[in-house]
Amino acid sequence: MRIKQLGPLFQKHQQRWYVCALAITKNRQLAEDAVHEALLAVAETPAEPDNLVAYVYRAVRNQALRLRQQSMRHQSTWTEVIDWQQADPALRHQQQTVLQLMSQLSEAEQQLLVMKAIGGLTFKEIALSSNQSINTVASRYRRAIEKLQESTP
Amino acid sequence: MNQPEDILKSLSLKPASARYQTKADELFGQPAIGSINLKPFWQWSMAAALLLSLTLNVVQFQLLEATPDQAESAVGQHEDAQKNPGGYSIVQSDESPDGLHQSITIIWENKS
Repeated sequence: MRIKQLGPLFQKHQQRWYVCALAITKNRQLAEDAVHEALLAVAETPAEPDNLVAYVYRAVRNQALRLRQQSMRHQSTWTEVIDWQQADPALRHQQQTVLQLMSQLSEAEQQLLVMKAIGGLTFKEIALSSNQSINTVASRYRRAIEKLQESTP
Repeated sequence: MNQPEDILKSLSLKPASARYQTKADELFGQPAIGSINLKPFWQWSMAAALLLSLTLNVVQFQLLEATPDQAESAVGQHEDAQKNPGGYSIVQSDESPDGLHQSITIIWENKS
């Protein structure tokens, strides 16, 4: 039964799946729900994926997109998903400025920056979730960083 | 101003809540199997359950002592088992009269 395979995978990847979902939903509860629902969906699918981890990453992304779509009325900002208790108060002004500047980028670019720079996902993990090549993800990330630098005062 | 990338890297996301792990435990976890120390009423219940299990050609029988949380988890597993072709389970949860066991969960699983 696949649910038995997913248990150990969850212990290993739970933080990364959560970050992946949070970067899309901008909401902690929705992100948690997205991961749980993705796991249930993967457990029930009759398909036999070659790479179960990659399959779950994509399922998490799909569930996060679906839940975000359902809750469009409750749009959150990046400021709301940041753990400010862990943030350096001396950098607070710069951090808030960068988060505001980030909102000028496309939604996909913002998600990429949050997953990589804040969430600490690797390019490979982001590539798994978005079904893109690692090179594509890396070049889009660099481009997003350049755009952010260009708009920085 | 520092590089935007460095600024972003100085931030961290809000961690997942305790619910994230708890719900996953319900999804993946097994209720703990407690010791069998039952009053006569429960011994009769167990005997009846065993008889029923034999009648239903059950190959696996478990008697579990469970807290309400564990019982809830078992109900989740019951729902999962129902979705599993070739198997089913019945979950019964009650409060024991002696108050020693908050609930008893019995799972019959048919793997035939």
